Amino acid sequence: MNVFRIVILFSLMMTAVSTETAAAVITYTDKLNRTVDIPVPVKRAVFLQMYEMLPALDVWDRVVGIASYAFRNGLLRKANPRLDGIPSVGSGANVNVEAILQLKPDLVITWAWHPEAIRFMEEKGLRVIAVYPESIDDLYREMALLGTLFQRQERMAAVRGEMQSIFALVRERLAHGDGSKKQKMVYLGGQSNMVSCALGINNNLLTLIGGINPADAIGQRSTLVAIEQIVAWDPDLIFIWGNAGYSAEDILTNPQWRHIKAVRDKRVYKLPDWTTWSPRLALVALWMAKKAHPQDFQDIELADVADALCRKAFRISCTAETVP
Amino acid sequence: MTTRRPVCFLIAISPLVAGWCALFLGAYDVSPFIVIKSLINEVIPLAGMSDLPEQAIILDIRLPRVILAGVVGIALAGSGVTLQGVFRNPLVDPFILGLSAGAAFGCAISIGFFPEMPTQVAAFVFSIGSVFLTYNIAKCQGEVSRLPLILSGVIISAFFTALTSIVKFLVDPHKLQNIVFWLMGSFALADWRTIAVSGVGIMVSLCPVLLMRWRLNVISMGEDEAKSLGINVNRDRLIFVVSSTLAVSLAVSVSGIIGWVGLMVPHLVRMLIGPDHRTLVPLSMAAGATFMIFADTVARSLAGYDIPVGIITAVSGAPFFVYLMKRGGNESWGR
Repeated sequence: MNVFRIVILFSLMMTAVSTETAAAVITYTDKLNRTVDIPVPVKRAVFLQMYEMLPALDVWDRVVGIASYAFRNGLLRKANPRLDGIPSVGSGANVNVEAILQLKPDLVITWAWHPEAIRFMEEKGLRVIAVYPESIDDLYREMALLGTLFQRQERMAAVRGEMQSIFALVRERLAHGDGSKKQKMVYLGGQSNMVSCALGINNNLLTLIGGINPADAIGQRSTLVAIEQIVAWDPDLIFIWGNAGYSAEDILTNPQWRHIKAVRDKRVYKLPDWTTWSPRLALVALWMAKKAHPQDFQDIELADVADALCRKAFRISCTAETVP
Repeated sequence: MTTRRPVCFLIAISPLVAGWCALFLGAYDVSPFIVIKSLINEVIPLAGMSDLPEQAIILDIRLPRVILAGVVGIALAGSGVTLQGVFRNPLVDPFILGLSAGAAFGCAISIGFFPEMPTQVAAFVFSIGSVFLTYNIAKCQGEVSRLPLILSGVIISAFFTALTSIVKFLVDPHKLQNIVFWLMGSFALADWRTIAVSGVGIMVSLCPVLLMRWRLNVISMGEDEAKSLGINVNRDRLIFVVSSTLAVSLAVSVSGIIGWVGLMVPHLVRMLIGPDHRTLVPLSMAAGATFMIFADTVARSLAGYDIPVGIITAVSGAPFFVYLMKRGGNESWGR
């Protein structure tokens, strides 16, 4: 009788396990509209993109390969002193497929704008998903996906909550401020005549902080425009991408820009070189909001908010020196 | 020659006409009246003009851009026609000696690894350096003649192109984007300081070409014929190559790599006025300036974007060159 009970119990357990295994395959439609079945939890992952999510996910033991650019990321280095021990597998644009195949990953997370590389990796038997968050909601979706893939849903929900509280702070302060006159803002890229347009996370940020992006009429992510076009827009505020090879001073001292309101009022700001595909996106938004509406955020210390987010999201401290 | 005088005159004044028209076109809507007033204001100050943004648009943005486009057009077309004469090869362009590949490498390492080094300086130094290497490789065989020089140029171009690819592979995507845009060529960031440095340098560099242009007629007859007429071919060739290299290096350093102009414009002018270098050289320079001003005006006025001018010259140049080849290539070069 006891043996019979044990057999029944064992059968039930096996059924439960197999049901769980069968159910633990998620179907995901990625940025390129490719539908990919992914068994979860992912145990061996290659991160060619979104690697700043790793300290938030805390799944370092499941990362078998990482993009070469990750080794230049100060936050990752601080979060994982053993970062150099993870094999480099190239980048989203220049994938080292042989190195990835050798690592036998369950999943490769890569950049959406190199579909040939994705197709090639798939032909070699790799399971690949393409990511490219173009808005805050897109980033939340990718974060939720990563939470599901690594069974860190609660953790990702908590990080999202931290980000949302910062975005809510921005919205709340702007709602109380004088919203009657919106400011014209442009976001300059790698060259001083490259502007962020209607698509992409930068336009999303400008809108969030109560700005009007005059380049919004151009249906692209970014484009080169004539400097006289920027003069014609006459923005109240100019933001410069943190990785640009020129400074705010370069713009402020260039006579070609002198008739632009933002230059006359000395409201040209170069952003910190933080990636926007990270929980740090919320800090970027707060940084921009403080510059755009200093009177509404004068009691907010960005360094304190940044440190709190880093501790909660990445489990490290972001010291004041890292927050401009 | 007499029947060609009107054509020569039109080509000679075309840069002024193109430049004048270009001042009235752009993204910022400026009335022709204000354009003229802004220009007059520079000579005779007019009340209230200095505070107008239109004044800055015309004098600080549009005018330097038009002038720089013209100067770069002069350098590319002038060097193109000179080198075509020196090498007696209609397919030679100013970049034949590896200059553009060297400039691209200079730009790439400046943007990628040494941001404190100005891109223009790096591009200039490496473009000169690449031609110096080309010349010395060709010299290994003793006397520097045409074929070894062209072959050395091919070798140096390939070498620097490979080095540029390595840099592009190593740098992060943010910097890679800047390298790519620089390589496309643009006058978007032209200012007076750029013109002061490059414009004067280009004009001085091209002086020997202008003064000695009649010798190109002799050199293009062939080395033996030129030597029999008492020409020191090697010395003259060196002067022409050095002058052209300096001019194009300066042009590339401020505008990026703009193809086709140095190849296409001399052909067009040769078809119109004949192969006599005494008129061909200065008129090629004038036509180069006109073409470049026109291409840049299209680049900044065609849409809301500022299209890199190298794209415009390539898109227009390739089909136009096919047309030229079909129409008059045989006659011009007497094949």
